[in-house]
Amino acid sequence: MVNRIKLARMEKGWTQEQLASRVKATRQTIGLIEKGEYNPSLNLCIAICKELGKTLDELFWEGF
Amino acid sequence: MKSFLNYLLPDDEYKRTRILYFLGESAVILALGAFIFAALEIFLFDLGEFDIAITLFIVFGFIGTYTYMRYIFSGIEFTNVYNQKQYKKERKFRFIAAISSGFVFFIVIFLFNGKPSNTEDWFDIIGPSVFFIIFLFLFDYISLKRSYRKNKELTDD
Repeated sequence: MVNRIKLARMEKGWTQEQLASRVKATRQTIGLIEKGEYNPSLNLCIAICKELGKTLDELFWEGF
Repeated sequence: MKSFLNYLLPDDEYKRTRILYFLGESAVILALGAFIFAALEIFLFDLGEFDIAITLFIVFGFIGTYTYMRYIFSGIEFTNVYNQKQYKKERKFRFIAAISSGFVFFIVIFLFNGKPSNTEDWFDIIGPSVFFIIFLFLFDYISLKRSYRKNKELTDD
């Protein structure tokens, strides 16, 4: 699963810790998602999209 | 998903998923072990009488120990330790916590055993308390070290 969370997060100027606290996850979880080592649930994907102001396609769809 | 486990598991979904896997693994290993022992008992040879209390304690102990060991070795306990300063601070805190818990353990044994009358009685209280402190700190230390290593690989800040 591809994801462009790190890029979107950096556009916002947030740290992993800041994004984690906004989506009620741990910083470790955000790090794992960004590295592609953990596939988040749809609920967490949506929470991340909402916080970063992106759609699911923009963050997770291949070749978008 | 509705389950009483929701009250026992952490909020973070990665941690939650991993712990559920550890619990599931322990249950599968236990079921496999029980099946093998039952098959041996029925088809091959008599394993003798089992003490029910000991058997139940083994079941409880295995699930608890397996899940806890997988948890501490997976490095998911200390999710916010990312630098040397945080690591040292947490290690110091864990050391103090182990000493404090050991002291409480000492008091509990003291109250159960009564006042020691000779040196051997004192060793019976102090010995387990010291082991309690050593193991508690050792497990916390392993978990902290693994978490720190894992976190460092994930950070980009």
